[in-house]
Amino acid sequence: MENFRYVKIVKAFIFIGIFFLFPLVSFAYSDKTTHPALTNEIVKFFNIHYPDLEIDDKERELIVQGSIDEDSFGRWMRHYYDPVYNRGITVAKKWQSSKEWSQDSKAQAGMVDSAFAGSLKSYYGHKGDYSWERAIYEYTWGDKDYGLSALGHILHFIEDATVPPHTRNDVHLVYLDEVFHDRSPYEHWASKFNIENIDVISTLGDKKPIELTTLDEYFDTVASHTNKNFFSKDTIFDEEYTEPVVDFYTIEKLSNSLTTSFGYRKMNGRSYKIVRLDKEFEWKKVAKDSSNGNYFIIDDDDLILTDYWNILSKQAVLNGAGVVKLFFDEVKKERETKTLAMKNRSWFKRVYDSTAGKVFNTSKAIYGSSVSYEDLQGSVIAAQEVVENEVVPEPEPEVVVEVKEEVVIPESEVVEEVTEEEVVEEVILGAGEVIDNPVAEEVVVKEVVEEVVATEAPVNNNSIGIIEVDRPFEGGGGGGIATVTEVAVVVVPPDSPTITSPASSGLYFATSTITFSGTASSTLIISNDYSNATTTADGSDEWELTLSGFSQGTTTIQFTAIDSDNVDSTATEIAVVVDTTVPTISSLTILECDNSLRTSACLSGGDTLNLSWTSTSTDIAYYGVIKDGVSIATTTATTSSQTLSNGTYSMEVVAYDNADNVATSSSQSVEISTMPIVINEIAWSGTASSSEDEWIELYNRTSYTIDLSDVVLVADDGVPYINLTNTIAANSYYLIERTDDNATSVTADLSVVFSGVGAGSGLSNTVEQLSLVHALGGQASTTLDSTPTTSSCSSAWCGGSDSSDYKSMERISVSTAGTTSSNWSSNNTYTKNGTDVGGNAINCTPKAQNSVSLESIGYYCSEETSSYLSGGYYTPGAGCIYLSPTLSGNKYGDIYRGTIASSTIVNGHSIGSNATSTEQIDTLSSPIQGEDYFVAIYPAADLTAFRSYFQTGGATPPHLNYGILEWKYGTAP
Amino acid sequence: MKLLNKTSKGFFIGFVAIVAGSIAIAFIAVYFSPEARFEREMASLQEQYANDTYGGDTPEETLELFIQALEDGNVELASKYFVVEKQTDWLDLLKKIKSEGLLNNMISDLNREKYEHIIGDKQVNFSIANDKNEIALTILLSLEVSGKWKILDM
Repeated sequence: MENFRYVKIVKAFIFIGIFFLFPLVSFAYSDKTTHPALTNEIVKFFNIHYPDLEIDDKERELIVQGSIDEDSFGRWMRHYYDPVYNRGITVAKKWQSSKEWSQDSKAQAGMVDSAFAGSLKSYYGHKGDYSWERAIYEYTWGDKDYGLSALGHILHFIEDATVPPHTRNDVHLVYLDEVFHDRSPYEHWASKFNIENIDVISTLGDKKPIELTTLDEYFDTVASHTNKNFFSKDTIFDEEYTEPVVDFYTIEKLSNSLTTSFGYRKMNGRSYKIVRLDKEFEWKKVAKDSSNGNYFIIDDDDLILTDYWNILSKQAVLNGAGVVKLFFDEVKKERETKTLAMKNRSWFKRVYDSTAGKVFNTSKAIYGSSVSYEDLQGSVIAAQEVVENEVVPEPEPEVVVEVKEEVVIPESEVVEEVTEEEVVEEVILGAGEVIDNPVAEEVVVKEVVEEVVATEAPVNNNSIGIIEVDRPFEGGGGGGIATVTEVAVVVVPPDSPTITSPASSGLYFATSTITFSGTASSTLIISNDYSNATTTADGSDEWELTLSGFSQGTTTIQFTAIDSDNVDSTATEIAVVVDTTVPTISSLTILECDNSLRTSACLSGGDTLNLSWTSTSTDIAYYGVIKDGVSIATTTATTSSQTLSNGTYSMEVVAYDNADNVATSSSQSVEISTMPIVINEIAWSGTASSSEDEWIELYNRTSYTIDLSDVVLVADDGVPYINLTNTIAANSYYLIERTDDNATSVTADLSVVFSGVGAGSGLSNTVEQLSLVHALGGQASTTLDSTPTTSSCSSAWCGGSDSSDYKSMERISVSTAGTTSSNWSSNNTYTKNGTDVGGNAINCTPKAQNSVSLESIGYYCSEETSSYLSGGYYTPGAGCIYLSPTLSGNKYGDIYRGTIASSTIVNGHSIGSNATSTEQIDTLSSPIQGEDYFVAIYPAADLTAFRSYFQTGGATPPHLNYGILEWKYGTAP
Repeated sequence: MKLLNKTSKGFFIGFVAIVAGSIAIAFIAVYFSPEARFEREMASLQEQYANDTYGGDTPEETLELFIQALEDGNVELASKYFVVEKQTDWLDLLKKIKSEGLLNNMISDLNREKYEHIIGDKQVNFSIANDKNEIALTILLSLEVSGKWKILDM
């Protein structure tokens, strides 16, 4: 006997020792900014919409801390859920998904504790268990703070499901933040949001928390939304995932002036940036396999990541608040059903309940009491038979469980026989076996159960039906037998149908007919509370139902699955918003057209158009700016600035409301022509007759008459500041003379004092920078043209001279920017136009082509398609034309063999004063391949001097009024 | 009494053996658990990363070193400036670029003006445009545990 007792003691020690020898190793690392920020927003948003369930500050801190603590080592590898393949991350092994992990109490308890959970230990006993059920259990029955902390852990998972890598099997090593760093640019960028600076709530408008019926639904909904609509860095167009797809690409300019192509995706009537595409260098095409080729989710203005955040953070808050609501609903349900409370009880405790219940009911029967054992325990009738199978963590096992209990009250002997100690002994010896009632009692119970079942109809809802049958005392005095039989019938309803389309609740539709689809177990009938229409889930567990006749506004529909026993599932609710009203949009206004440079059409002298419009609609989702029928930008504002190249465009704006109804503004044709008018010549030093006879010439490069009424000519120091008047004809000049029209003999278009906003008047003889500025109705202005800055030419004018030759500063090319210093030079004194007030010829060309912009001479032979080019190889044929379009006076043209100053003359011809060309036959004697030749044209009056110079170099050219074209004989090597 | 002492001794030895065996089982179970195995793999990787000193103290310096290595024709060294897990792949690619005679093109393009953009305190990217001002190359760099900046993506 003593040995037997020692055996029991040792065995007890063994089991106790085993528990103490298996500490669970745990790690903890904090998640610093984004998770606590989102969790805090979720709680705040929840409090706004559920004030009756308001979470106070202390409770909020617990939840936030819980969401931080979830990122400890050993746990973070289970933060991934890929809804496409229903898996967690697959690194080194297949890790449990966050969807499962969050609801797997045993897995969170660890290997050892889970083995004894629910048997020798409480089911919810381990400190590392922050599962969904644990959260509900603790908040309802145990440590409320623990429950809230666990809720925070759950919210962490929901937040992770809005991070693309977490739903697309894209591992980024978060392990030991001080060791590795987050590879995900999205998480890197989003880490700037903290509790102090995050503001998602204000962007939600009138949206409400998304209410779903199970935590699984939240995981599936959120993770699917993320997976299907967003890329992660290393899964862009990954072959494992068919979505997302890009709906269209646009080329846009970034703030650093670089252009790139953005890929957009449409969702809920809006377009957002999803990817960016590089133009590839040739060598990069070889390296395409190294990464995602030339696709990225980053850009220099963070536009893509901002779009990602704007959508995903909202999903986190909307769904997170829904999870919190679901949590409190489950807590309320637990208080009524006590399901988790029972689940938590170890075998020992359940047996104790059963025994204690028998003892109590014995006493009650003997001594009488209005209190039941259940009332004392505050739990459902104990000794519930639990089928020990793997389905325990899963909801709604599809079995009907009969629970029976009988209390036999023979006398007080029962009290004496059934002791705690002996019950303990039986448990230990019979570990793993279901506790059965004594055989003798069982026989009686069976009979009663059958009878009860035969008379009661099945329960048609998800409730426990308890049927009591009381039998009176039998027999006369001296005691009797009172038998109470209770039968609990659990009817398991079918799973609620899931709705996959529409993808979420509250979507907008521009039609009153909407097709709903989703999944449900095959053969279940899907019904709804909107109409009598039903459908049946097919063999692929899919269903689809089209409902019509929706009125404008929001309609909430509940879908229910019904099985063959006519048992309804819990309803799945979804709201749709029907809006068939087309939005309004006013006419499109373009600032540059309201202040056009042309009176009969819209001409902008700058490359930026400022568009504006209005709309009285209140449900506008966004506007699209359309150029020649193609969308080039979207905005939620009612203004837009677009920079375009020269050309003529048709501009429109399209309004899209939340239901994708569309309205288009009137179109506006606009032509962009930069530098339409330019500053062409400046006589800053005046003339020999008067230094104050300054003048400025403008030139119109376009083929239109330009209205100058909104154009000013202004110096950098404000003097002069000249308001131009009237118009300037196409391809024509506009002469502005100082003070009066006497500066030159050429008629001025405007005579005005050269004063301005500062003191003094006139042009400086040192340097100024002049600009032509087009005012846009006082709201903005465009600089049409400018001369070089004052420092461009060593703090002096870039051309021209003062005494004694008073040369003007001439622009070389009207097509080259005026700010380019090399585009200016001095009049060459040979090509001139007009006289000064004293009758002296002026070294300028007012209202005539500038001397420095004259074309060079030409030599055109008929077998060629254009004039000879300098340095080219040619074989002249029968006749060639000497071209001299601009040299003034009587001209002469020679052809030489050799190089300048070392040549012989082949032939020469007079071109004359009025002609600009002459066709001649020049026969080359025995020309040699590669031999040098040149053509020279110069004033005939200087024939001797020039010929001497060109042949022997004996004299320098008498002046620069000549042209040369050098070429070689033969064919190019 | 004698019988009792002998029995107690036996039970004590048995008890100690069982406890020791339980400890051993527990240790083995934890040691070979997925978390512990993964931790050892990560520790090994951590050491590899910490010992990787190729790279600059700034992103610009890393790029300069990378370009210099390419200009020297040393693609092996150039590949070292990528993050550890991508060095092998990029070595193969650089060899391929070199064998196809495109290395000078690559160097020339890398020497174009770079537009820097900061994503976070440990991640930056550089954009390089072609002659038409279109972004043709995006280089993403990351500050690693070694304190060096490495090329994460290109």
